[in-house]
Amino acid sequence: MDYQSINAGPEKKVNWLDLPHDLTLMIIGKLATFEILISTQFVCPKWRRICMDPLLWRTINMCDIGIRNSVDYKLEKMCRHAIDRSCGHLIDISIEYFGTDDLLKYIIDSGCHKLRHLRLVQCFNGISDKGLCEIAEKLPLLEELDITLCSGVSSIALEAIGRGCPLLKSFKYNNNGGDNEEALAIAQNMSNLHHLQLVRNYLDNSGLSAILDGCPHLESLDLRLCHDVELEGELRTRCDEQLKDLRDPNASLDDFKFCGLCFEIAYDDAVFDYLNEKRVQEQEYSEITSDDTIYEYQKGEAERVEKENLDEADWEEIYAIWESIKNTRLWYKRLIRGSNRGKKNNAKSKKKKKRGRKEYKINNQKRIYYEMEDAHELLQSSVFCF
Amino acid sequence: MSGISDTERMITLKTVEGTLFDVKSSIAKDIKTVQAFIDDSDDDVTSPIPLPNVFTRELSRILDYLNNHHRFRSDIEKADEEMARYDAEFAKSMSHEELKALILAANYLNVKDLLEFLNQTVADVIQNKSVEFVRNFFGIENDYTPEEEEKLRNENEWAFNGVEQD
Repeated sequence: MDYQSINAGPEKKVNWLDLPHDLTLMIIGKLATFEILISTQFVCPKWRRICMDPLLWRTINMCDIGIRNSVDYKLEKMCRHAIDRSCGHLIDISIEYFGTDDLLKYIIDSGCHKLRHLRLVQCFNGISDKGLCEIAEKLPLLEELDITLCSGVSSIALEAIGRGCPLLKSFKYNNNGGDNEEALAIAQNMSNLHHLQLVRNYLDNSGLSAILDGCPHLESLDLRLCHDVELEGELRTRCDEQLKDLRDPNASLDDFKFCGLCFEIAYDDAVFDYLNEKRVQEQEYSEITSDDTIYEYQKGEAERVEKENLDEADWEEIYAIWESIKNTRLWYKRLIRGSNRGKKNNAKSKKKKKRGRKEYKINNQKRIYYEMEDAHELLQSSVFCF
Repeated sequence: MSGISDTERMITLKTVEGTLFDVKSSIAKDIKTVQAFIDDSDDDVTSPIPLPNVFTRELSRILDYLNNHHRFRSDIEKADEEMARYDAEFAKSMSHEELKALILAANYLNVKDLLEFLNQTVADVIQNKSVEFVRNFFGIENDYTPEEEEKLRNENEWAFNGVEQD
């Protein structure tokens, strides 16, 4: 190792290239996958070699890339490329927005059977039960699984995962609209769980009891926004005795990133569409201009410039509209939730209560659907007419 | 050399320059290279352990860091908060050259937590920065000719939308 630089004067620029390979690898490994692919690997030939090292690709983190980048880059293709570079050494992968059944299959087909951590976030309908069932039995080492905001995943997949991944210790199943069926699937198939997060699920007390029975090793349980659970009396005592860390339905959501209501997610979707649309339009402009006369080229350019100038205003407009939708919606949401709770407390018989809950669930799903539709429509009518 | 009135067993470390440092055995546990040396010797280690790759300046900083972290850990309530504040100060107080020397020393001594932290510090600096910034920071000459760089970038054009139609 070279220690000369230590004794050199402070003005001398430090040369980091002589840092041992594994140390540079550790530093680059701290960067996000996206960044390594679009920038870090172009720094110099030595770094490029390091960026080809399969050990660097044991962890692939493609979360928090942002909507703008999601539009400009082919994230799924980049992810596949990263998986290729891991040469089957992949241990930890996080996917946001672009996860599909095909991508999951690609992970398995690339020989990444050593996977221990899998995070699928905001993949909406991209991931289905079928896709998860196919990979479940091929990931025997899986310890941690996060399925958040992937509405296509239900108890069918959970059963397959429970059977195929006996080492599963930590499971997150948030915002997917699950209820007692999913709770039962967890209870009956994932007996080794230590940590379970079920934010915004519709399970009730019977589902919770089943989980407490079925997962004897459970240490932490997160039930935030599970308003059908009533933590009282015996059940409450049981939870306190069995669990080290319990978050009840009303606990603070400060550290939970995806507490966004469905229409807010729809907003993300709408912005994505909007940016995509804009990009396509700009491409069309440039295609026209290459063929047509100079006059039209100039006209196109002028329009483009005008468009770009509008950019800031566009965004302000979007946000203003958005704020107003959000406010009215939040108010509406509170109203509904309030009235539902009132109904629940007044329920006369248990039978009636049960039926009511089922209806509530259906109504709830319908409402979420309408919310998304409305948000899309509102955004489209007010923004896309530019 | 002494001056620490603690009943805990002390271990003496010797740097390249010959400076001696007395270290509590509980701290020495975190320095895996030293711990391995102790484990390998049959009797109690009484003579100073030579560290032929570590300079006084780096060792005193590393011991500072470990001592402080031990202190924080004994007070569980405020541990995280104070540790974060201390770490931030620690990272800020170093020049790039010191940072590099410390990474090499921490790597040789195999102090896992500190090495992780220092690597993260470097990564934070170059996070979301342009290739030119990274080259400048790491003192890397651009070995690529403009043509080579152009070619490399073209090879990776697949990553961008709109270049080829799917």
